Amino acid sequence: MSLKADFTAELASTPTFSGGCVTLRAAEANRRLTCELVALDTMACAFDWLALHDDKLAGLGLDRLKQVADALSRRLTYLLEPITPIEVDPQQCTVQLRSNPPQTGDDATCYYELLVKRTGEVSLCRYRARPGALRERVPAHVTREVLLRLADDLLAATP
Amino acid sequence: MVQRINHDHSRFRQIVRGRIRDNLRKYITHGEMIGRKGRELVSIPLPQLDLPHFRFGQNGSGGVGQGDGEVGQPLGPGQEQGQGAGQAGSEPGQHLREVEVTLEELAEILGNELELPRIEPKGKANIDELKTKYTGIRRSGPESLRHFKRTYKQALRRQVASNTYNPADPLVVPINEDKRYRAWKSIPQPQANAVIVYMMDVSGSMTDDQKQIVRTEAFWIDTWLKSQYNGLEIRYIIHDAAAREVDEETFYHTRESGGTRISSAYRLCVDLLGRSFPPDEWNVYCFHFSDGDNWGEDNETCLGLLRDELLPRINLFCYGQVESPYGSGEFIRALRSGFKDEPEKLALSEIRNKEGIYDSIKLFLGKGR
Repeated sequence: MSLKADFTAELASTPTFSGGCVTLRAAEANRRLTCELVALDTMACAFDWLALHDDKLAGLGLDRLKQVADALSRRLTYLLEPITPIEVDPQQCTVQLRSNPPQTGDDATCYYELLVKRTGEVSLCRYRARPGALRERVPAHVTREVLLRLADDLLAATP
Repeated sequence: MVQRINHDHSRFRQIVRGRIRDNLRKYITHGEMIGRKGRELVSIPLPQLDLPHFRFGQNGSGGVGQGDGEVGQPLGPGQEQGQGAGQAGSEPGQHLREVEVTLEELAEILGNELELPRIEPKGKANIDELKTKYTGIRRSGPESLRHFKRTYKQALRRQVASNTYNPADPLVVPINEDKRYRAWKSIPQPQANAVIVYMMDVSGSMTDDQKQIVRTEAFWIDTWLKSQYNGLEIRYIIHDAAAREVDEETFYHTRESGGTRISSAYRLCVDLLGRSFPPDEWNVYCFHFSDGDNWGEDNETCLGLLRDELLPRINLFCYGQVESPYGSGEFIRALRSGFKDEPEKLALSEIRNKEGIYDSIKLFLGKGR
């Protein structure tokens, strides 16, 4: 069974809940897909983070990581805001992608942050920043289909 | 006797200064005037009423004339009425007049309005530097300094006295004895040296709007510090994950995509000061602007560099955190918790938007160091 099929089955077999958290895991030879859900119902879910660990990403050069980031930016067009590469850190060999532009409300700014790291990890979270306060991670709300599509795109964008 | 025009001009300057003072907050947040900064003068647009004045019409389009025509016959073809695009507006127009004030005047207004304390310079204030000033006239000197008016008057006086001047043929020819030259004097002036080091984060998360805020604030800081010191050196450092020293143009117009490592700028600043500006001879001011989105464990490194290397050797360190579109800057919080009793030499300011520049300048320069 493919990693995506595993992940789909895992999501389908998880009973609906709200409150607490459940970690979905799917793995194959050199890739692991993990998602920490904080709510799930029949149509949608909220996740704290979604991460893919791919051994093939580990040790890649910065240019190659940038290509992965660009590919992700092109694919993830269906979230609340478009995501684009913002910063590249050559020391940690990490590419940071964020919502561009972020969603600005009356009292807070919300945005997705996606990190592509040389450690082999690609992770997606959503943050909220209120004026004068530290930014905090907030659950990202998506339908079940969008979550599966996200997982599929993470898998497809990595080498 | 003081001429009336001088009196009027002085009154006009007073009105202009009053207007600038009243609207200083607006002008401070007004970035466009900086673009018109001349060598010593700054243009400030002031709203004003248009005074009525005569305007010349087009020649040959009317008036009184003589000729063979009959009464009632048009004098000329006149201008055809054209059809312009769009409709006339219903809002009143804005009348803007630009006046020029010197940077010294602007600094004085800024200082008074923001109640900025005068700075007590350290270091070389007791060392004199010689300044030359033209103070008189003498009979010998280089031709380039010849005073033509005085020379002419002297020649004229000589010719009149010797009865060789002919009013019908007013030819005045100076001879060597008539020539007069400007004389100068060297005046010792106490010299206080200051260096400003501007550091700016140009990483991918710093937008053009944020850089404009930095530019505006830097202009006012320059204006004030220049009014306080005779010799002012300005150095510029930009950084993302790595830092480098650049010129002013590059400083304001560079955008990189690298990650933010503030410690790289602080390290370069320490090197620069150690290499070129000994702290016992220079008044050192460091201004750092960033969105505060520092990567990883770099905050600790920055605190160490600030505490051990920078603060002991400078007059003032100012950190301005310009709010990024993501509102995610946390470096100022790290500084506040790292320096809980916020030392006198440290000034921290959060600049949310252009309107925040005024208070930020007041905070930075209000320390009087």
